[in-house]
Amino acid sequence: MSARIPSLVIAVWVMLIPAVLDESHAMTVSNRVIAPIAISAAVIAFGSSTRALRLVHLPLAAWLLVSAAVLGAPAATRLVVALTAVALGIAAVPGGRVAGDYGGGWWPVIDGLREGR
Amino acid sequence: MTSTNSSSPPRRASSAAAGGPADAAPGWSQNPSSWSSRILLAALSAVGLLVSTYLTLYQLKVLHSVWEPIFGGGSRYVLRSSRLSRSLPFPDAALGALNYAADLVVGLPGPPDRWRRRPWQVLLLVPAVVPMAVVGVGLMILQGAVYHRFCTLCISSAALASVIVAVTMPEVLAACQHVVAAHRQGGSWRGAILGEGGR
Repeated sequence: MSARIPSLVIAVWVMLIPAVLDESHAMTVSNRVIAPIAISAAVIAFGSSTRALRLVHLPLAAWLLVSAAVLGAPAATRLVVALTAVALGIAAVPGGRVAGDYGGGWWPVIDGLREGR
Repeated sequence: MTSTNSSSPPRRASSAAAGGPADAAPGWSQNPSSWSSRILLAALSAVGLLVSTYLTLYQLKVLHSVWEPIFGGGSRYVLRSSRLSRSLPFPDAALGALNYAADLVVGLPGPPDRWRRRPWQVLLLVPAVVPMAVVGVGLMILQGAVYHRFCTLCISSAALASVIVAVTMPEVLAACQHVVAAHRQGGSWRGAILGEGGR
């Protein structure tokens, strides 16, 4: 569970970037589209049975990285956004400790649905 | 996706989870339908219902001001002046209140092993809780990217919706595992979802 705390903190930071740093309107919109998705995914991924949702942060981090390169902002802001993207991506990788047993998780369900087709 | 014990055989849990160890799902260390998790869901839904009802009353102009400790006039704008607040013939916060009420109605009742006796009821939690989280994210995006104004209680409600999804999903997972296992044993999907033979 504690493995998700950095992800949540970084996602909230993405939401705060437009209020703290100077950036273009396009980058503000981009950050404020990404941040709610990232925050919600981080919160839901706190659950042991839903921790896979943390992987949503990987494409979001990739988009942040792209936005730092292509959307208008001062160099310092671009650097901060790029570093934030890298941190968001890295924080999404560790699954963390699973509290308790969950009967094999979602894989038995996925396998059963495949067989049931 | 949780993959713990993916290769271990199903077993009854030995923990004395609320609802009794016999109610734990195979391969689980706790009862996913325990009263402790259901009461947590009910408490979160009740808070969401209170917040949404308060916001609805403000949108209906029954209340003349709204609590906003952080964003100044943000709540006033988002709740009464934004295009979204005027797009429906009724207050949009009422949809949230209805949804949280549905969470309470679907999430609270049922036997302590409803994941296997009433999988349909547990699966009903998915349309009850997931859309609310998705809508919450959408509203946050609108506030941040379109209106550039925020509403503290709306953000709280959206965060609550995500927490409720995290709290609900273990039981949904157990019900899904049970339905798939019952189908594998030769039962129909309909019978498995209705919990036939799950007692």
